[in-house]
Amino acid sequence: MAHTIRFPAWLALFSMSVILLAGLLLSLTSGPMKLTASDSMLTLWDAIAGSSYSQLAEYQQLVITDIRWPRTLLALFVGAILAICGAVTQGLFRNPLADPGIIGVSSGAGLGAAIAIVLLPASLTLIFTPVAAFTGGLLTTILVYRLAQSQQGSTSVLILLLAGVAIGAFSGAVVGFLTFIANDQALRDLTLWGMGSLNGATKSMLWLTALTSLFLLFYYQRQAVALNALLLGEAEAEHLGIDTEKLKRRLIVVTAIGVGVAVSASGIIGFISLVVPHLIRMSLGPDHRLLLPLSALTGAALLLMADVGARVWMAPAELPVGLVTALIGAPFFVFLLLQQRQRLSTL
Amino acid sequence: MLIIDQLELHRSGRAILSVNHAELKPGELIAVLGPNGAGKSSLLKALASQWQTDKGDLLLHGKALHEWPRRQRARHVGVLPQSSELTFPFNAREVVAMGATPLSPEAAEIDEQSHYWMQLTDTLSFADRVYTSLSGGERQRVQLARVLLQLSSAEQPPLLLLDEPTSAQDLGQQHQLLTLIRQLSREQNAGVVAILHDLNQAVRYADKIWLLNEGKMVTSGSPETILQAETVAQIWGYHPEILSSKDGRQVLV
Repeated sequence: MAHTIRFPAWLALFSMSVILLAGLLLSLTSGPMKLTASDSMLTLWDAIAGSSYSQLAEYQQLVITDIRWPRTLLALFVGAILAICGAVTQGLFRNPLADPGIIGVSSGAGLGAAIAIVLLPASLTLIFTPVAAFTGGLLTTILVYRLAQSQQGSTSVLILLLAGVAIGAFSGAVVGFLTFIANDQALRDLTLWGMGSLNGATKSMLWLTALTSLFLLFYYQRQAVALNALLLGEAEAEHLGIDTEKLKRRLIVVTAIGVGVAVSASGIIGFISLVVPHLIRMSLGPDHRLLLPLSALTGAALLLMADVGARVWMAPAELPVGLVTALIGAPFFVFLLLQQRQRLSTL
Repeated sequence: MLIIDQLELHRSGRAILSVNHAELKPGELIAVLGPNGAGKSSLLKALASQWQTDKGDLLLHGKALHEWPRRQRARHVGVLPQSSELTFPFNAREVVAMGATPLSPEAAEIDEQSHYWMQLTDTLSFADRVYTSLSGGERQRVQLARVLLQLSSAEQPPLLLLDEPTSAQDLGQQHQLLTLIRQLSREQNAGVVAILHDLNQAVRYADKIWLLNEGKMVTSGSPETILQAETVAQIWGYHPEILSSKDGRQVLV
């Protein structure tokens, strides 16, 4: 038991790619309108290459290119962002329970987004929702970090979790208040968004999430070795030649960008950021050089699958995907708590 | 290689350490001794560039420590921590490989280097076990291998700082670790500054002693000259009896 088991990275890469491709096909073919996989792929190919192989009628093609494909892409990007931000937050707090959703960063970002949706005129919300979500996420991360940091430099799990409860309660109250003062349009936007849904991906949101996920992948990967050293402890990382203050500051800001973009794109989708890095750590080990890219890939595949599940489970009705991830993720969280009970009970 | 001159350290407005002058030569092992609160840890933190010094010089190979570029300094100054906060399931080999953080060798080279230092520190037998499942003594040796890897590409004699390296270990392990460090410091020509608690260990392994009391370096010199009954009584408030071991070393009881 004490021996570490490490699966080869190529195996994880391969199996996750297979799941992702399967999810891609399922996502393009499932829905009230029955379209075959080959027709769907051809339509997609036509849209990308400008050819006309597809035999589908135009309205059927539109279902693929304008509804299912954007939604699929949004699931991939948001899933990748959530998972990789989760992995980094856990590294930053040196704690596997430090998930942006659980410690309140997502609620903070959500609060920012809700304020922008309700209080700003509709013409401005598109641009300012992500900005407000980022600001909310950043402020909460700083607050939680300050709260949880003890004088010896370690972080307290208890305070992390309680901070999450407090921030969640506060932002829940403010969002509730906002629904009272919101006008009809804003109320509709707020409700749709608040359920955590990948429905209605706009082109600008797709670009924003795509660029953000690429930026995060690239940026975090460069910090992977430093993140490993940070797990030894802050003083140890400093002795290994790392400017830990600078590193932490940057990670906090960049992670707030990630969470802010994800939250403004799809509302609060919980537990992907908790479950995925944990699964990767269990199979490949905690080395961030592998953990980060594989988390992104797995997060993308998992959220896509969850979204397919949300669409077909009660078809033709669609569940918000946040509901599905919570159904899987919350028991997983309890399992983690049980696993860590020994350590937690001494706090 | 290391020169401390007119060093003063303040924390929250209070002077907590002052050292007139002290030097360390390559291959030398120095034991820092003193009662609790004497400033031993502060001295080590200053040497590790963890704390800023307010006055005086801290020169490593003729250059002030704070002027060294971070990574360059990390290749020359290593710290063996008392304990580590590591809770993530890295195995011992991966912890050792983290010593390569400030270096820039190829991955294959890191594996080879880790293997080499793990052999020297006798940690290969549990290389694949989770670090957190190891005993205190085993962890300490893994950390030592990590720090040695970190210092392995130093262009000039490196400085190794040890913060109570034997606190988590039983008697056999303590002597094993100190013997190893003693031997390595000579072989690698490294200067070692170690905070020790056991005066007899200091006599046995150290070339020199820096004696601290109430935030000042009181005196320094060879163990035999420093650890006299009167000095010990004055600083620790305990009157030891000094005996002589079979090989002629003094023993404090």
